[in-house]
Amino acid sequence: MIQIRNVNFSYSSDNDVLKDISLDIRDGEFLAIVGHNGSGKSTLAKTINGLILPTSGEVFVNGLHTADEKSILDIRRQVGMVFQNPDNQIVTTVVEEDVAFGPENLGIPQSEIAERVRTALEAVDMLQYARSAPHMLSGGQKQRIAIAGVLAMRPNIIVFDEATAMLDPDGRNEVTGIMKRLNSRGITIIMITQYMEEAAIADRVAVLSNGELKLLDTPREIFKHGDMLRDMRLDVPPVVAIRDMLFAGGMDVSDALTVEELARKIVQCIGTGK
Amino acid sequence: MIEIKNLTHIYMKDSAVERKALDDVSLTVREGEFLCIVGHTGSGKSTLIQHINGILQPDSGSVVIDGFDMSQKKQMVEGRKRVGMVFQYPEYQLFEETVYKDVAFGPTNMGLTEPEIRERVLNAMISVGLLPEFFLEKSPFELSGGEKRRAALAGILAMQPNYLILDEPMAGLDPSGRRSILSMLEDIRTKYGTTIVMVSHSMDDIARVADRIAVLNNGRLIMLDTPKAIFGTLDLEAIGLELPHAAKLTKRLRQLGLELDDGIYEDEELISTLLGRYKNA
Repeated sequence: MIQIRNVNFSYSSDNDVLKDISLDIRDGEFLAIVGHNGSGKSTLAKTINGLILPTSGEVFVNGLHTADEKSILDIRRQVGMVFQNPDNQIVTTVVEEDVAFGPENLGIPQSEIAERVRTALEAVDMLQYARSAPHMLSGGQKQRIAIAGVLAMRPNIIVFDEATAMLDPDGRNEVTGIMKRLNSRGITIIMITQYMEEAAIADRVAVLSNGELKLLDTPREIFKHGDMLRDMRLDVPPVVAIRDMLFAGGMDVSDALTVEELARKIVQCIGTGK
Repeated sequence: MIEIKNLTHIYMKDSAVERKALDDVSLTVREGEFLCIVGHTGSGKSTLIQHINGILQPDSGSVVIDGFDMSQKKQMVEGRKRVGMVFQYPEYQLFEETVYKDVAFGPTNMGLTEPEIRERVLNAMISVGLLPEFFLEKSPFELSGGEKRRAALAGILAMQPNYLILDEPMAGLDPSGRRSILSMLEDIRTKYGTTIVMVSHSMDDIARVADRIAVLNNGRLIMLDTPKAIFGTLDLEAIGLELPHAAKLTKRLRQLGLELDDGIYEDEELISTLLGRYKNA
């Protein structure tokens, strides 16, 4: 459980990046955080593993206070982070060495490291690339290696900070697929994203605007507020935009969130014409 | 007009990892069109556009811009003047003390007079939606992510290129930033008749703006046609690409037995078709 309590953060006195944010993230939850460029979403994510300490307020990870120096190593071990640019996260020239980098720094015995690396690569479907050179891989594959490196430290929480932003659609699907899989194995997932259709796969969505937490609810509820989201420089997923127009035209399709759900509702409304 | 003929580009030639990044690609970019280039990572999109301003030279084939052959040094200088190139994350290339100086960098290098430069900078800033009186003297580093992106674009526009070539201009921006970059490109095209070539992964955006789409796969041009033809006939998912959501939904509705034209790819068309059916049902 992550407890974010009245968190404020500012780089300078006249500009608050985070304003009195309180939020509990449950064990095993899949939480998406969305917000316009500069809304504070990345900053909020970095408070979770103590990369950023709040100016005021507190963050607790499984009861450990991020401002407590004695806890910080333990917190960083529990909270893994995957960033935007895969090329900045890869440090060695062989995939398995890269994945071993984290556990080696944690002082894990060599015998156990080999096992951890294997399991981590298996979890992201990259075991067959263990001996490959990372720079020969696609963007999506590189991100999967970065995820394996995090998994090898056996975290119970992983924060993905716009980890799909630089990938093509295939790569994005690979990475979001891995997020869902890890979540189904009990890992808490926090996904920061600029893509509303990605946020739609989460259990809950937190919407930030100008450093404030404006909405916190299921995607189904959040994406009922198209106008409000657009006012906050965001949007609904493309399929929801189509849904809303059909609904405005009188069709009873109000709840659909995916192509599949919307297609079935449309067929219910108008039949197949046969 | 940009004429690309039988363009082949080989990376790491004569080494063990030699790879054809572009394989016999021929295409013509028409005057005034909005052409989008799609393809998965490694399909050759970026390699292709780097030939348009002569950063890369073909191993065989040719690139000719308004009659200037980009393989001839003197002609390349002329060809390049017509091309404005916007790379991915162009805001990383902002470096001057003020937005004005940054946007003026290109026109200054073109040897224009001070009043000409000033006029171009102001027009470019207005085109990208950065109010000159507010932004002129700001440091580029005080701007937000979306504003920096627009300042970088203004720097290219101030050179008044006939051809604007953009590699993923909306990457990393929030939905509102994406919308505003896209409508800005449409405005520039209407106002100045600029030809636009845009590389993007975002099919919903492409569906909105493209006159034609070029699809690259493993270095080959596999189709060049209107969005309607591309989205209606090509199995984009098989080559690692997506359909626009309206086309995805159309495809699924057809599978479920609804009789719909398979070339529907725009939200408006799908919505009006479905609402029409609903009212008659």
